[in-house]
Amino acid sequence: MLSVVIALATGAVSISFLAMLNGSAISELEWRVLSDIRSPRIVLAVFVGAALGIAGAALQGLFRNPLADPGLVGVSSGAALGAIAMIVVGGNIVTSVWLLPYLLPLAAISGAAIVTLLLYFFANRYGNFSVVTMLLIGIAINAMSIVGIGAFEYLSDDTQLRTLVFWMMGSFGKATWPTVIPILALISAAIVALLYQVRKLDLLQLGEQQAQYLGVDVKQLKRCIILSTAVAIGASVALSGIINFVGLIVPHIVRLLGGVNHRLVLPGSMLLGATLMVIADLVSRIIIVPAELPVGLVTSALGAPFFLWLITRVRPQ
Amino acid sequence: MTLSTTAVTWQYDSTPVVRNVSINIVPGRVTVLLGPNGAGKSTLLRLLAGDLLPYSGEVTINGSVLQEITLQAQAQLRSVMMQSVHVVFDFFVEDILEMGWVYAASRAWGRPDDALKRAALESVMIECNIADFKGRKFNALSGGEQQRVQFARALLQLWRPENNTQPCYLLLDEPTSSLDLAHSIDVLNLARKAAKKGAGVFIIVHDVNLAARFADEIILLEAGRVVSKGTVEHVLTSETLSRVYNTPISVEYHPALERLVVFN
Repeated sequence: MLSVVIALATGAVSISFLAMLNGSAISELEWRVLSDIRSPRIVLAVFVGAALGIAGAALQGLFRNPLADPGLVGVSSGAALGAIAMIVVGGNIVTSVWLLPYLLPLAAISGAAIVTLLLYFFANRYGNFSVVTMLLIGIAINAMSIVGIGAFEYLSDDTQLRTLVFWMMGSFGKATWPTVIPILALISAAIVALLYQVRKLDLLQLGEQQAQYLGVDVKQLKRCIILSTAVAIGASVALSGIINFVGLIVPHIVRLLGGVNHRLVLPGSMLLGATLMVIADLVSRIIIVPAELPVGLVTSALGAPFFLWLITRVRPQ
Repeated sequence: MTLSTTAVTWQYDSTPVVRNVSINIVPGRVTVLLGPNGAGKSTLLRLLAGDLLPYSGEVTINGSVLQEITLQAQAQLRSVMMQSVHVVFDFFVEDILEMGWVYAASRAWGRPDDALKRAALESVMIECNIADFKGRKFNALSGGEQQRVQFARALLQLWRPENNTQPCYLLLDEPTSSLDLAHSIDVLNLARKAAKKGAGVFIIVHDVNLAARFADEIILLEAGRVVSKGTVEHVLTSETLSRVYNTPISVEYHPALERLVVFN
């Protein structure tokens, strides 16, 4: 199954390359397009897709809740709030062009981490909260973030505003190598950290107490997952904005195909997330040539109906 | 070498739940904890399992203070079966069982003890008579069937090679609460068998007759205090039980069964 997903992932990339190559012979210009515009964009799509897929799977495992999605529960909008604060306020203070690619993800990661911690606080406070409670809390957190984002939009000037609006819908259009590289490093680190937790996430499904009886340091596991998913989501949001539903759909498809063991769900979601994202980005680029759609619209168009279907399947206990 | 509490106290907010309890769970024996609802039985089990930390007193396992050894090491010395486990995702029965495999360090992938694990899994499924559940989803099982799987998982957790003679412990919180009489007796027989193989077995049950039949030692808890402990004959008397349960209870020796029977 994994190999099929890998094949699919590489397939999607090579399709986009083929489309390029068939159009014309490689001229100097074409080469520049490929190496400086197309490649960082596709690489970013692969990593963001992988990050959102695996983070969604890990959050679902951590909260033992199949509807946990970075977008729905507010982690993404927390990250967006952090990033926007940095763009609007920090942009005026920090003038160094070199520092911004690092500060932006840092701010987004902080935002994501705060929201995840908040969620966990609620989860601990009210026992294992139900699917419905989790979504309601997500609505509340999203609403709070929107207030913050709105305030910063009001404070921003015209050029900043244009950036913000497009960015909120999610896009890989801003990818350039210098901005992409720190993001790739952060996402890779988070993915490696998460992949080490697969067995513990499985044991956690028996409940926190039982997991502890089986030798899992539950507190440490929670810290690790909250931090890693915050890094993965924060880094993704920092450069490509809010891309909804990938973290929700992908783990479900992987579970339907290959079972619920996290040893499979995590790497599977990573690969399928990357594949899906590359395809979604491709669609967003070619559907209204020569203009392009924000990729977040494409994933939401796919994800929202899927989400409705899922709600009818997952009955609250 | 025992699993022991020494003058252990635990309180919720400022209400004492377990008061000054000193007990020993001895390898090779079945210790049954009895007591009315709210006596603090489950809390005492959680203290023994290391999930709750005592406010005063200490819990020791084979001579070391429990919280001073790693969770991994604890998991290899004692297994716990909780009253109920709710699993959200659709795991197979084998997946749930396999979670009890803590022998050797748990690594994410490619464990070298795979063949060993599969053999142990097979044998525990046969032993617990749940081989039929293979290939079924855990959540599709009935409550009683799930309980039998959890029991098998707890047994698997104590798997160890022949040459490892370090005493281990099996802590069961109402393992028969969803089981019919026949399966209750099956499970308690398996617990006895584990004790014969050297494990210290600690069971919370509500059925006094099951306790009379399977216990080597009974501990009777009331309002967080041990009111009586010792052999079945010593603890299960009409007078003590009637007082603790606050209802008239008779205990008589049944000559055909050759054990005490309790009724009211």
